[in-house]
This record gives sequence, C-alpha cells and structure tokens, in this order.
Amino acid sequence: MPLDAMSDESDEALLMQYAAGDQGAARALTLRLTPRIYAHACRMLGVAAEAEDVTQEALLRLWRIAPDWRRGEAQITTWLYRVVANLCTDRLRRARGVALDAVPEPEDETASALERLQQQDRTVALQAALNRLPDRQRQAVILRHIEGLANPEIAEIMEISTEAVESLTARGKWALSADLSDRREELGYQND
Amino acid sequence: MTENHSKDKMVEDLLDLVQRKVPAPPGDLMERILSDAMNVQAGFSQVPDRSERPGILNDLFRVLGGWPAVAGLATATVAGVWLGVFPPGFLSDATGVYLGQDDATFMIDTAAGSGFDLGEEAL
Repeated sequence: MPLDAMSDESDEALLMQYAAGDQGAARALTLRLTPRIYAHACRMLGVAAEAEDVTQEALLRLWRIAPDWRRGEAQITTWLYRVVANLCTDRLRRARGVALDAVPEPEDETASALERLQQQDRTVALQAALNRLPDRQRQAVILRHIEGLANPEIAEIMEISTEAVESLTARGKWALSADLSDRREELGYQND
Repeated sequence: MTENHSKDKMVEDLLDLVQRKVPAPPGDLMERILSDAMNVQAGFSQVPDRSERPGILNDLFRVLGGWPAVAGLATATVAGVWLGVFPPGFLSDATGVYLGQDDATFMIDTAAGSGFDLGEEAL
C-alpha cells in the first residue's frame, strides 16, 4: 500500500500529472517509488552509498523521460527495475571487491541481542553469497525470492522468457546453497 | 537427499529473513530525489515556447544549418540587392548585355508586312 496522499492514482497517471507540472505528483511518486528502488539497489549492490546513487540516478532518468513516456507501453516499476539492473551491473563491473557488509540492516526490535547478532550474521552471509553469483542469476533470485515478483514480471524486466527466469532462479538458489553449505553451523543451522 | 533438503531449507530461510528486513532509504536521499524532480519539472515549462514557432519555418531553419548558415544567406541576399540597385561602374556593360539592351538597339524588322508596320496600319 503506497504511503502517499495520491494512493488511488496509478504510477503512470502520476507521471503524466508530473509531466504536466503537478508538484504533488512528484512528491507522491518519490514517496512511493524510492523505498522500493532503494531496497532493490541495496540487495543488488550490497553497499548503501552505491545504492543511494543508483536510486537517485534511476529516478532522475524517470523524471527526464516523463514528457515522452508512452502510455500503456510498460509499467513504470518494470522500467525502473530495468534501469536499476543496468546501473548496478555497470557499477559492479567497475568495482568488484568492495565491502560486502556495508548495507546497514534494519534491526528487529522483538529479537534478543543474541538473536539480532545471529540475524545480522545470516543477512551478511546471504548478501555476500548473492554478490558472488553471476549478475543475471543474482538479479533473478533477488526479484523472485526477495522482492517477491512473479516470474512473468521478472521475465519482462530481464527481457527473457519465463522458462529462462525459472532456470536462472533455480541455478541461483543451488549456487547459494553450495556457497553457504560450509557455514551451516556457524549461521546456527543444524544438520537434519 | 536429506542434506540437499536441509541446504535448500537454509537458503529459503535466509531469503525469507532478508525479505522481511527491508532497508529504508535515508531521509536526505528522498530530499535529493524530490529536488531533482522539481528541477527537471521546472525545465518542462520552457518547452512550449519553442513549440509555438511555425513548424515548417523551424524545419527549414534546421535544414539550412541554423543561425550561421541563415546569417550567411541573408548577407549574400542583401549584397546581391545592393549590387543590383547600385552596380559598380565596371559592371554596367555586362548588365546591359545580360539584360538584352544591346540586342534591342540593333533590332530590325525582317518580315515587312507582318511586323510592327502591320500593327501601325491596323491602327
């Protein structure tokens, strides 16, 4: 549920209003899209400062394209995910090996201190393993299993077939399992 | 088989954990993005001024090569008109030849009865 004052308007309708000069639409779109895009960029890059830059750049591109946006051609979020993926891929290729645990994780208020430490370890371990995946596998796993998007939407974002999405997510999960298998006990998982 | 199952379960659990922990964007990022939005939007209001100009003239202007080319053409046109109205001395004969003044001086009626005299008789 979008937390903006124009929550009954679609993203596209708001973009049209923005292009026509409505400042309220700019505010509503910023509030609605930024958290989602930032979270995705964090998962893709694992570095908060980089994720901020990518989010700002992706939305800047949206603002610029607003007057030329072709109504009904694509969903705005789909278009944004695509832009974020391209920007992240460029950055990852330029700067391999940056600190993998640099994204500050939101704390779970209900967990004990020990549980919180364990959750932090698990989150960092998964993020590090995600960062070691090939770019396309990482993107597919994040979109499917963390963002919770459906395969057809992921297929549209990645411009591949749904079968290819299934293949990428399956291989990605298998690679994560293999990568993290040595750390099972360290991360608090018991062998069955 | 059991080991694979437990590995899958661990990954499912980790993905589920990360899914629940959504990183929130910092406040200053939201402000920067909104500021970008306003700056870009401010540029939109200048677009109609350009589109108000006639389309064909605008196209012609672009095809000719913009201001430098049009300025050159305008200079050449003014120079041509000036030379036409106030020709320099050395150009006057050439102009006469070009305009056929010499031909008119030596023109004779070679077909008597069907030329100018016929017209005069008719009067």
